[in-house]
Amino acid sequence: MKYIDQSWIKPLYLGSIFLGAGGGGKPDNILLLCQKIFSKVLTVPLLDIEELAEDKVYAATGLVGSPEVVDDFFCTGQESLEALNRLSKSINSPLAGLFTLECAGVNILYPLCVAGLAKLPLINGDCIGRAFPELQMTTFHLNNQALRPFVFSNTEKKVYEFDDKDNFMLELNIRHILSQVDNIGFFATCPTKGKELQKILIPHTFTLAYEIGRVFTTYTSYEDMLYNLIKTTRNSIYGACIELFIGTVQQIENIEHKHWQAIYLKGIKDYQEETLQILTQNENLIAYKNNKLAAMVPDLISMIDIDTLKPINNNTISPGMNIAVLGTPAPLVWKTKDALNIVGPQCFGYKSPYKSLEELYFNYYY
Amino acid sequence: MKKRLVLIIKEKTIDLLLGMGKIVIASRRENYCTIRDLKDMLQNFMRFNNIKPQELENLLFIMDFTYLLPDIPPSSLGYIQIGSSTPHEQFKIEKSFANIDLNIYNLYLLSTDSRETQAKLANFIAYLSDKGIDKIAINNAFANFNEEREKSVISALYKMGKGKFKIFPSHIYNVSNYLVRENMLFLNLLLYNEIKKVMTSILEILQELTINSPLFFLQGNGTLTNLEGILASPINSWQSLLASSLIGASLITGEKDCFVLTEQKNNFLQINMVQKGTPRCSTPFAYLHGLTMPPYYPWRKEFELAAKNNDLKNVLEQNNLYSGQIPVISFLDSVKDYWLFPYELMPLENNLAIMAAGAFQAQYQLEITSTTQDMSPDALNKTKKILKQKSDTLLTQHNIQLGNITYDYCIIPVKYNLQNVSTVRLRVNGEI
Amino acid sequence: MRKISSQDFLNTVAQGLNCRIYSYSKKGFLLRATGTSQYNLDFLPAFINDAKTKFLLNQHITINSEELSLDNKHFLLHEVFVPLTELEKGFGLLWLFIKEKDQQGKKTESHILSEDKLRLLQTLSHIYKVLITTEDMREEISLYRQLLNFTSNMLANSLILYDKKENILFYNNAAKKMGITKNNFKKVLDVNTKDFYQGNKLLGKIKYTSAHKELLGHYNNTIKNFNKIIGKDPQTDKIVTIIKQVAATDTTVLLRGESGTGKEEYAKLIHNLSPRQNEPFVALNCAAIPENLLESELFGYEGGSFTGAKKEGNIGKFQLAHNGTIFLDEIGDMPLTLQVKLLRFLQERYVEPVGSNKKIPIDVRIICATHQNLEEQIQLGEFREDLFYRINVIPITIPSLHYRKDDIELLITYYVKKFCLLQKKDFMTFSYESMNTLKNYNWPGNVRELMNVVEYCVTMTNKSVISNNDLPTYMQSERKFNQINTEITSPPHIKQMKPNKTGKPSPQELLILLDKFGRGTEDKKKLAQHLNISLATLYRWLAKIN
Repeated sequence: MKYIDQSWIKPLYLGSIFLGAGGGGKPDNILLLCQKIFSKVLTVPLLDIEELAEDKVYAATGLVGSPEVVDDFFCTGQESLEALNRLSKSINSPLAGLFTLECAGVNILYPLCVAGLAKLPLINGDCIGRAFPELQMTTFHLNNQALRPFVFSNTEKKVYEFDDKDNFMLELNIRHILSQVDNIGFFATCPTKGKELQKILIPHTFTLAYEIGRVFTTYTSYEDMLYNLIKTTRNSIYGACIELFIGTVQQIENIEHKHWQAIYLKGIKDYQEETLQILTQNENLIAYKNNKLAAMVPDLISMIDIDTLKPINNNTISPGMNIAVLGTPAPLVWKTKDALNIVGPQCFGYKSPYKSLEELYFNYYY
Repeated sequence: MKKRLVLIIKEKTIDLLLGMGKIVIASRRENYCTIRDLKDMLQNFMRFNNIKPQELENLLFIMDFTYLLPDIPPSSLGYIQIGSSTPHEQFKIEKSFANIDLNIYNLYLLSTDSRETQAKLANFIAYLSDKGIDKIAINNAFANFNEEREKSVISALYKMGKGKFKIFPSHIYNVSNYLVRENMLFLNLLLYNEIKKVMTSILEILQELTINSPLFFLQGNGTLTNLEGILASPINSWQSLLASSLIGASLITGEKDCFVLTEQKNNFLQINMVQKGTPRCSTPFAYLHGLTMPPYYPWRKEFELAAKNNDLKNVLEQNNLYSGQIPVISFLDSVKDYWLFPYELMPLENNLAIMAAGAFQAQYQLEITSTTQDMSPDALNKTKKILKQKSDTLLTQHNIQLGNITYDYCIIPVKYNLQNVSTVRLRVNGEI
Repeated sequence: MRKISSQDFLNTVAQGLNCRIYSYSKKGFLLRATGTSQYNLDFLPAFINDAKTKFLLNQHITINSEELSLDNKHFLLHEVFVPLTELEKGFGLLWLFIKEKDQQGKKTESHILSEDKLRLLQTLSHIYKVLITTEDMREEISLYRQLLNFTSNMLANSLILYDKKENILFYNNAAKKMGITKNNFKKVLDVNTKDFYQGNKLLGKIKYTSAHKELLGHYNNTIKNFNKIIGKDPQTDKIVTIIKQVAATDTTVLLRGESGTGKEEYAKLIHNLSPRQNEPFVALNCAAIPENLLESELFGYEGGSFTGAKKEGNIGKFQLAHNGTIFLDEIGDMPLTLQVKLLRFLQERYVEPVGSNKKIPIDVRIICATHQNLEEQIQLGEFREDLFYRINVIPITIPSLHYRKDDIELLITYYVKKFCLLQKKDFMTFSYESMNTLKNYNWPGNVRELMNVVEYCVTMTNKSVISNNDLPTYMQSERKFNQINTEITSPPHIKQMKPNKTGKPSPQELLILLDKFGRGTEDKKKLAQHLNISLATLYRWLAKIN
């Protein structure tokens, strides 16, 4: 068993932005909260999947709604405790530990805060391995499991409970309520026995976020950083990340009828006279280099500000920024035919079939 | 043709420039001159140029009020934070300005509809009155989507305080970041008394000279606002002098999109940029003494001349937002053409006339936003209509008539919730 | 003084003269118009087509009031077209003077245009022409500047461009990379100069060098080379660090480790990272070649030097690897006689082909590999001690998969994607249970065995998830045994590490594979390739089944 202490927070924060693949929110305010909670010499046990007790019940917690509005609010972690208490009562069982549904963006540090406050261990794994916008885009859904009961509390600690059998309906119902409660909720859901959870969770994503973050806190040159990012991701179940482009953000265009944004980049350094276009919705979906496909969802398209050598998400990006665009293969579970029906390019309104990074850059990988 | 007067006021100098339309026809500079000397100066200038007070169409101020910040006396204020259940206690402003002595009295309200809230507010007011504090800043989580919470608190404060308190609301900033609003609130609140003093004396002088023309103030983003606007957010005047130079340079050279090399300080070149005739703003945030500010101020990039392997052309290339090259206007003699090739260099002398021309060219801007829970085209159109009506009403209220008016709508969906909620922003621009 | 664009100019003039001006392009399209009225004049009046027309006056009025959207209070006083070029049709300015009628609705002014005013219009039209020509020229200059910048940066020649006053206008990236500036250009020997003139007037000059070889084909492939080494454990890290260091030198490296750990891959990596990367990499398995042929394989032979030898002789591997790297796999299996010859080569660095007494000097880097315990072999007298010390300069031990449990899942994920792509199948995953089975397996055949198992699973499965039942049968049956076995944590003695089991499929599996690949000779060749064995071995296995 590992223990998460204060020294993990900054790397986790940076890793969470990288794994957010452009979305997932930038947890600046949660970083402050986390630092506050962990300043009182606190450690949170981190359980590997193999270490789960087969018969004990674990639950997921995190933020649902728009992580983008987190900038506008200071959460305490207490919000989710309300939801967890209700969940525990509802299933009439104590909880042996917590996990995050989405090991990216705000949903790394927030569940960590909650685990710290609830004095529960956290599980080293999640149900997405990156950021995705909807609840059915989880390995729970992939394994035909409903996210029920789903309990969430709003910013004023009012608790709502859902018990939908269908994850799509659940998603719709929650969105409906969310727009009335400041677009954000703090949930507890998926009470699951360890034995089942082992089959569902994507393993080691929490430590991966930490290891990726460590690269950003350790290295001061882009080349070292890239080398070590590749090394870290290569030695993970994701696979090595690949540098797709380095360029200046020229403009960010809204494609209103599809709720898409297009980020246009003009190449610099080794990519002079080349262009990259990234289509994004909440996360980065597809990248085109010189009008040819360069990467697509579910593979991760992450961005790094090369002036500060820190990962950035779509909210922070603005014209004139010099960024490196990296592609990282999604965890293998998302690349199968069944999974692509849930998270493939078609699920975001894009017609072409999925082409993996490994296929596009076969010589790089093999 | 009607005449317009530009006043460029710095800490120790005042410049007066007279214009017809957008053409500068006379100017006068006074060094070591403060607001107190403005009356004589203005009187002489008008007599010398044979201007009658009623001939003046308007007065444009280019004035960066942040010069007042270093000498701000100790201040105390009440700070109400709504919708935030964690009291957050680290105020960054204290770190950024060592000289500023700010006493902040906090009140946290998780929700505003309970009876408890009224009692809390009443206690708070009584406490502040005891301490002799008359300014209250209000910050509200999700201020952009949920103005009502804030407005209900404000009206309660007015009722209870019987108008004794000057209240600084947060929703007027149209910024969806709690800490940025906080920085704006504190800076504006600190500047408020000082700027009020300055403006009162200016207004008195103008009254004595029977000048009744409307006043406009150039802001850092290169747009104009009126007296109410600058009093509501004096910090918006930060970098207005630079903004005037940038617009002026673009006007004089006829280049709508260009780089401008504005300054050289200890081996550092400052690069600015003009887009569509107005200063390119620093996005997503600007930084004032390390404080995060909204993107209302000119973007700039510093270039170290002595640094090895640092090529000015590459820096331009990396910051050029266009597919092709744009001209580079330089206020500096030291820049050579070969540094920039293939960029085209246009030397230009930065002078007061350019700044004044910039002010003449600047447009009045009004920005308002509204949130809608429905993203259907009908609902969006309705929201747009309401915004337009609101802007028209505001302009009539302030007695501002704009020429060549444009309405620019921007729909900003709340990410991850985009089926439901979005903010619609309207920017009204026009010539005064 | 404010800069005036051609549009500004038209607007200002139109305002000053109280008229409307329309500018027509060379092809007769309306380019721009002045005034704020909503004109629909996007056509070319017929008369403008006459290139010789100097002016067109009122008698040619072809535009009616409606088209000008004139109300009945206004009337068209003058209409003048000034062509801007003598050569082309329709390029020019159309001036319309519109006046207000008086109170009785009468036209107050005479249609006659004074000569002075006509001359004024002509002059103004030509100033306009100068303005737009300047604007066009600026675009053209901008284009040439960009073209020059782009094309010269593609060159490996350094070049600096000067204007007529010897001011530098430009230098390209090659000059920058070589650190060539105005001041030190003189130090470079092969500087050429080319002057540019207009007539006899000097416009500028260019100074340039010949192409720098270093700049051509420059590519940093360190990242790419390391990209294929998967390993989380500190030992892999250590190996990578050592390899990075030794790659730059010519030191002999000895790779040790069980068979199937990928020693050849590491040898290639060292070669690819070394300064010899663009020279040949030659691999030779000493165990695979009969003893009597090994010598001629290594050192080559003269024509006709022994029975069955080719008439023209043959070049040896050492000669082939000249300037590059030679990789001698299974050096432990090299016969003693040859060990002596190898030792001599290592000392003297030349080869003597069999049947020849020529000495051919060879510059080659040697990497050796073995799975044998050489120290033990020395004691048994099977390996020469002096040779051992020669080749054991930098020993690198590649850990067997057995000790890298954490990497098993990574390697499986890596290879399952590879084989799915190669076989053009949808991606598959391993279920939690089957992954556990694989993780707990002993992997005596190391990474090679793992690859074979993964390829087997990918080939045999047609589902998204590979479950326990889809694993090769010998793994399914061995599962329980291995689970007990993993309890033993102490590493077995080195002797026991010798492979006692290979990735050999069971007879049933072989039959299934035969059905899949087919039973023809070509099919069997493919199957052998698939199993990573020789065709002969396959026949041997098949013979046993039968």
